[in-house]
Amino acid sequence: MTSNKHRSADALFAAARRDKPAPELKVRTLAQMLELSRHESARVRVLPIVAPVLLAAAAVALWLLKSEAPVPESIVAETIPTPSASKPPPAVSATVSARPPSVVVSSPSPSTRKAPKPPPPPSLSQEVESLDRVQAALDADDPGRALVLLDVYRRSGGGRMGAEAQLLRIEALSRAGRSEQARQLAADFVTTHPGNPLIDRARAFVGSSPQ
Amino acid sequence: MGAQEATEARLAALASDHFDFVWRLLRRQGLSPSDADDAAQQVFMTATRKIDRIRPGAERNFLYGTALRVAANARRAARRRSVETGLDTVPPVSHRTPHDDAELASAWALLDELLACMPIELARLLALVEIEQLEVKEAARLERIPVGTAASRLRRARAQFQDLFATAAARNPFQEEP
Repeated sequence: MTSNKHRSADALFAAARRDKPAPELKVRTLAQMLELSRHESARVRVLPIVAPVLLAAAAVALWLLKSEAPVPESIVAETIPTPSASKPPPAVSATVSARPPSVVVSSPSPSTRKAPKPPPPPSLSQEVESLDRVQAALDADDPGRALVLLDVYRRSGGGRMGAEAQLLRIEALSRAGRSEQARQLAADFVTTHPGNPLIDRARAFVGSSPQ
Repeated sequence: MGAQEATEARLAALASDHFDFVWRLLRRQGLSPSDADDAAQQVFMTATRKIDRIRPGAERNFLYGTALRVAANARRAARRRSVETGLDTVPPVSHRTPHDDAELASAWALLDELLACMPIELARLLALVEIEQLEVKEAARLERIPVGTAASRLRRARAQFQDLFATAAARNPFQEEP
């Protein structure tokens, strides 16, 4: 009796392992993560460009202030930490060019810098976005469009989200009434991705849905 | 450019390796499926912001700590909602089970009910070892407690769970005998 009870308790834990988020949630979250990451890294790239310019501007302002209204030497020493504080004010351009020149003068904004370089294979985030569109088509109950988008994805040369794409294709085929093809593809999935976390979803399409 | 690619690859691995773990953890912390969806996204957004500060190899520790904090906030929010609406807590049964499997859903509900009756640190440990099937050593690392403490907590947790389980056996969907 105890062993029977124990087995049942284990069955509860095993059932808990089958409590999983919808795969599309993972895909959507990853897309948002990549979006956020690119946004943050753009900000980080802008900062080193802007910071020296602001510093230079502040230095110039202090020089100008000093030249208009002379202040006691002690204050200058505190506010302007450069050793050249007692020299006459140099020209503005000299101060600016003392900063890393490439950064200040000729760097376009990050967005314009990105544009002229079309990356031949899709980036991971682009792959995720492609699959997001597939999911949106499925959500809109348009499996035909989902299949077209999946073909586009396949032709784009992306492959890092291959398992997710295959599962979406299985679902699209099934929803389009092509259940035999869906079953075959699902059977392929089960054999080619034995350790994939999406495997339970694929199994459901094979027809041996977990009881 | 290369650094950003590397970060993106790391984020993809993070989501791929740990998303289910984090989501299930949130679920067993008493969150409804939709609350777990939101909370899991929040956890991974936090990880994205701090990815440069997460030591390679310590990803799961970071996610675990963050998930517990987020879960605590989500539970508080759910309690507030239930007080405001006058309804009891959110329905424990998933309305979004993959295959509409009522038996599974009732098993999850029963499990959550039993875990909710246990001290939270015991329930967490039980979930890590019995559900996620982590070794006690790994569970102890996540919980930031000595292995010996984890082992003795786990013994207590199993005993308590068996007692609770016995009293609720009649409702266990997997019970074979009446």
